[in-house]
Amino acid sequence: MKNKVNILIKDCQKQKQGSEKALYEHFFSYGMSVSLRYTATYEEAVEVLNDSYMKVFKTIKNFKNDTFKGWFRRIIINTAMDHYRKMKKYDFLEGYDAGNAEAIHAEELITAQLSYEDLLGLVNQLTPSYRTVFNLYAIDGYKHEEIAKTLGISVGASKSNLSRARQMLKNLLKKTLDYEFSEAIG
Amino acid sequence: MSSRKLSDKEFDRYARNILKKPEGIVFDESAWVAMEKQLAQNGASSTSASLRWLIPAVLLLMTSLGYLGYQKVFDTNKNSSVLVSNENSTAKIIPNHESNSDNASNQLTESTATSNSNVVSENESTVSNENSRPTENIDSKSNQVKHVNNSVDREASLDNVEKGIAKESSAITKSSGSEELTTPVIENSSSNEGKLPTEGMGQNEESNAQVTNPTNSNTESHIATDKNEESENGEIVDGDNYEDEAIGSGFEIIEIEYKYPILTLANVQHQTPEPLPPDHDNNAQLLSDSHEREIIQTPFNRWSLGVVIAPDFTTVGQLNEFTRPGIDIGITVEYFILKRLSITTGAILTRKLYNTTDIEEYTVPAGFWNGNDGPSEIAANCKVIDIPINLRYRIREGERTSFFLSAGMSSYLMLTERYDYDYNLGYRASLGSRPGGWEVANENNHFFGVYNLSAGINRKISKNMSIEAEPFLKNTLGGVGWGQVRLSSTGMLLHLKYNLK
Repeated sequence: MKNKVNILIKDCQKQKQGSEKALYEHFFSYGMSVSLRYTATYEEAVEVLNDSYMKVFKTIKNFKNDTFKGWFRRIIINTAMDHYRKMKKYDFLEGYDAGNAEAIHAEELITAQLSYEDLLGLVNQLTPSYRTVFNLYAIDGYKHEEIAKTLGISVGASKSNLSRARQMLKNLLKKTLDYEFSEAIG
Repeated sequence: MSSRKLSDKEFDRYARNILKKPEGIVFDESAWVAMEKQLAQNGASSTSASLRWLIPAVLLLMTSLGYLGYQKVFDTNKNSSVLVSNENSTAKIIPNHESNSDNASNQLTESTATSNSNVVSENESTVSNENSRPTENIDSKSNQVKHVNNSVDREASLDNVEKGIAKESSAITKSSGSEELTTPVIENSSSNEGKLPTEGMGQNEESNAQVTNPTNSNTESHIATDKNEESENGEIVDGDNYEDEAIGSGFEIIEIEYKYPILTLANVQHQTPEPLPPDHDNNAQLLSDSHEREIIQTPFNRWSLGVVIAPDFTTVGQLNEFTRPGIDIGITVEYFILKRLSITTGAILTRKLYNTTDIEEYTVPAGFWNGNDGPSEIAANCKVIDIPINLRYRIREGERTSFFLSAGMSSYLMLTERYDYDYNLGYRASLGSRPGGWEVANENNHFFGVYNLSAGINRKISKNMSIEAEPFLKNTLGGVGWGQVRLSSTGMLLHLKYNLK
């Protein structure tokens, strides 16, 4: 498998005809799984993905001895950050009040067995800044210092954004769980 | 609901576990369409990148072809001008007509000695003919000039000339007894043949100065007296005079050739009995011709050094199947065995890039593909030193531009060879035990394993520098490299050359 990826990459580096599409197709699913988390809609996710691929094709000549997925994911996240900064001025919900914290119980989650699509739908409903911080910290493993640097905010703001993002997601999740529960019993 | 609350960490892990296992994301063709558009806008398409190479090569080829065409046209013009002058030379009878119109009743025998300096340089035999084509004897005994129709009839003139030639030969044989007479004629012709100025040449110059003077203004000076004829006629004419006039008239006629309107010339001659400056021009031309000869006969430059660069299109099999161009860079040495024949050699570092789907052409050790089918395509990238030894012949050599053909053999020293295999397995399939590629270095040398054919154009850009464009074809006689494939390369060598003294 790794060999195949290496050949795909080499072909791109040699600008072989059709190599770009081959690489694009091969990593489409993976790329979208990252960009979908950082965006609100499918279309936006494709936009981020394509912008990321542009960067990949332009710089693939310099790509060496690295796992492509890791490199590609960093590119997608950076591109998503660019989009986030562009979107920020339209982000009227920046100061969204997460409201009263709803507690989520482990049993509920196990019973509900939320699918990937369900959870992704909830993440997509987060405000851009909450979504971004939550993704960076909880899913992609960035530290608050890195997030603060990337987004140009203070570490404290990053922490409070994260906790509010969690709260908002929990509330959304709770609603879903309650709905599913009511569906189940009624 | 009395169960345990989820901590933040647990919640994060829960979300991560689900979100990192994406489901149902399938390739979206419309996303790729958008991607393609974006790529096209950014000009990062791979095809355009490889085509960028072709543009200068094609431009260069077209320029050189265009120049070749121009040269051809130019040469035809030159030829036709020679023809014109020849035609004019046939009209050298004109002085006769002029004399007729003058009704000169001198004792002069009317004759024309014709010569054509243009022809001198082009064709020696013509020259000597014309130089020694001295006379059209028109009823010298009666001293009356035969009246020929004044309107110049070329055919009639031709006839006259032929008559003149016929008479001339007889005249020469007849006059052979008289040394005084024959000697100067010989000298003249020899000097006109473009050899270095001799005594005879000096005489020519002298005589030219006198061209039109020696005769009366009434008579037609340019009608030369052929002593042969005179002696035949029993008239005693001074030898020197004869020479002067004969040669003089010859040069006058050259003037005619330049100013082709024949009738006009006749008028001009009537109006201007003074010495005609063009005589000197003609002399000058003669001299310069002889100088040129002298230069040509001096030893030519035997050695020239050059640097060369070329795009290199290499394929296995058909020449039109090339994918990406490689490049040739090198130095060359040329040694001239003869003025037009030379040996060229050098060392050219070549990057040969080719893709092939003819896997059968590609020889590998038994079991190399581990029992699988071979790859669907092989992409090769080889660094080769090409040492050619070619024989080059200049088929046409101009003052600044020459055209040549070249053929010979090359040795290929394969420095590095790299082959990438593409199996076309579909993206999710595993390569398994199939090799992804192969690399070797300094393993394969092929001495005189390649033949070269080329043709080109050389253009001097300064005294010792020249540039060349040389489209080439190189075919290997047998298989070369690790895979033992037959390679064909084509491209265009661009040369910058320096002639060593």
